[in-house]
Amino acid sequence: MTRYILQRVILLIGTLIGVLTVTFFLTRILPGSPEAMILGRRPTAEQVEAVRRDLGLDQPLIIQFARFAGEMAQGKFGKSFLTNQPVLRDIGDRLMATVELTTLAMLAIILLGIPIGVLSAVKANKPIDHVVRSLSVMGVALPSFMLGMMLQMLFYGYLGWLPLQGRMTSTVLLDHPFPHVTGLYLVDTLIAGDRVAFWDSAAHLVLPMLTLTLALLPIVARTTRNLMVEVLSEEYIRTNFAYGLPRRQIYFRYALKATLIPLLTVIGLTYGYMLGGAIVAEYVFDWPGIGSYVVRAIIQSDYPAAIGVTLFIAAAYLVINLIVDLLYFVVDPRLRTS
Amino acid sequence: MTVEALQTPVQAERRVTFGMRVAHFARNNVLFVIGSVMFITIVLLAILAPWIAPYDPTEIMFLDKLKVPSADHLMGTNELGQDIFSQVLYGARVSLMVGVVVTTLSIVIGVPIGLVAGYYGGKVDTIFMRLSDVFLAFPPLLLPIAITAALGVGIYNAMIALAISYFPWYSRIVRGAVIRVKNELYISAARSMGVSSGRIMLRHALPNSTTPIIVQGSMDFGYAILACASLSFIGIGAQPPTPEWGLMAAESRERFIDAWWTAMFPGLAIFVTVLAVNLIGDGIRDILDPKQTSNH
Repeated sequence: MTRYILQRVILLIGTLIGVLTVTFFLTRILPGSPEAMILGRRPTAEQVEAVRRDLGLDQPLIIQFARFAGEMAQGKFGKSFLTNQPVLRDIGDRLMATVELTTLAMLAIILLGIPIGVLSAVKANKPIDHVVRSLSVMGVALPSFMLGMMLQMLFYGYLGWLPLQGRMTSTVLLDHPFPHVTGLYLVDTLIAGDRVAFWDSAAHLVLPMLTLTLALLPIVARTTRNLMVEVLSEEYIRTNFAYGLPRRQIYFRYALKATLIPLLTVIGLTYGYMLGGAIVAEYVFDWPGIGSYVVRAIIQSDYPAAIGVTLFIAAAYLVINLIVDLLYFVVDPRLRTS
Repeated sequence: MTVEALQTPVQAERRVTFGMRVAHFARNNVLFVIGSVMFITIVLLAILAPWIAPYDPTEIMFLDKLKVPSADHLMGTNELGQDIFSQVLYGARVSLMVGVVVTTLSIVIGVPIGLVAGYYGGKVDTIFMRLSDVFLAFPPLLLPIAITAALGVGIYNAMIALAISYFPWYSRIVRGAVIRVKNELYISAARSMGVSSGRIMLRHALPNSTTPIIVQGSMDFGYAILACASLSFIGIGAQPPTPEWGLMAAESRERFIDAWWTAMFPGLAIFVTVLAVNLIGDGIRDILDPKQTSNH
């Protein structure tokens, strides 16, 4: 077991070095050389030389890469051109907004997707299964930004129930200050015991969360269904039926358990889609997380910010998948002994 | 009784006409047929766009801005008074091009890498596959965003970025197929007859992976259209005045709450196109690879 974990961690480090390499070469092909960015137009040859030496651009590529990797590994992403703050601090300011959104959406996807998938598998080829399958085929084809805009049209424009965008109404934020303990507004407002602020932040969360949930629900529901259909055709499940065990027990205690490992893998992958989807969803809803930050950074050529956030999200994704891998041990006792 | 008298009725029963085959196929693959009909219609609309479109999609007419859909403007007009119906029609050309270019490019990059890695094995294999695996370590959509950022915004760079993000899947598929057949007798026979490595790879190893390549390609076609629309939507894909569906939705962002048609029709166009492509993809998988369980 320790050997397996060690293997995984080494693989993670290897992949991280690979990710760093790709990012390093991306910084090399950036339009406009770094020295031009610092010096502005018409620098003298000596100025260029001095800045190049300063940035280490006169060193061999391998040394440049080592330096880059070292700095990135320490989280020294540099200063954002736009906010003039260290990129890492910018990420820190916005990270919890993204965490709040994606965690809730992920929970909703798991809590809805797995039961829907099980239901669809149990009723395989019956009307309800066809409905679930058709909806997931259609759900995959709908761009998430369109889903978000349709929700805005319905719940903000037509019904007027929910706010259009943002994380809180600015007037509420001014009238109801609360300490930022965790950065998760739902938790912070609860700690402060401020009902108005709590409901305001909850109302702002609904649409972006719903967008992410509906966009990714089909993947989890469809996978659960297909895995369940396979398990349900196994002999030991038939035996259970022959014993006359209660159906619910067979489905959720025996069949679903057998699908957990591939399902965990899919949930890990879904988290990746979630991180990508969050970039779009945050943009649609003006959600002040790292997704909308990276988009703005790219559009306004804020390279340190763009590279920093890209690396940060990629690393987070790798770590999440490592955690998923380690969860296999929790789920499957056979792995623990071998 | 003569021999002819016995044979005639049997023959009549056995005769399977082309029409019957088609009908039988269509009955067993309803979704595939629906998807194909939708897709062919979209392709025709894209080709015939200059003749069907009532207006020039880029023509700005401020007097006609934000018109509700009507007989004059089937899908209304946007903030600049451009005819949305015409834009959607021309947008089909852009999105279909994106699908074709991205899928082709990822196959062109991915297949040779997979072939060489699988055929030579050893160090070459390790290096090539580790390299392409790195591209899979990024969350989907993040890598194309980062690459587009580095190359500079624009639809051509977005297509290159998407192809770079998708090619590793083809490398994996081809590598797997090559490794499976590498030690087969017919490959050894070819080698012993002095057939060159390149020819063995192309003529004897590659054909084994065409089915999974086609299946993957048909799926990526839809993903590429969706992803490119998303890139355009956040402002780093197609740039105005390109009539790209994602971009059109983005440009409607200030107005769409009151002028629903400015966002709805481009969005619907993406949905219908990707749905058609995915139905075809699912169908192709069922037809070519009956062992794999259907995913729809």
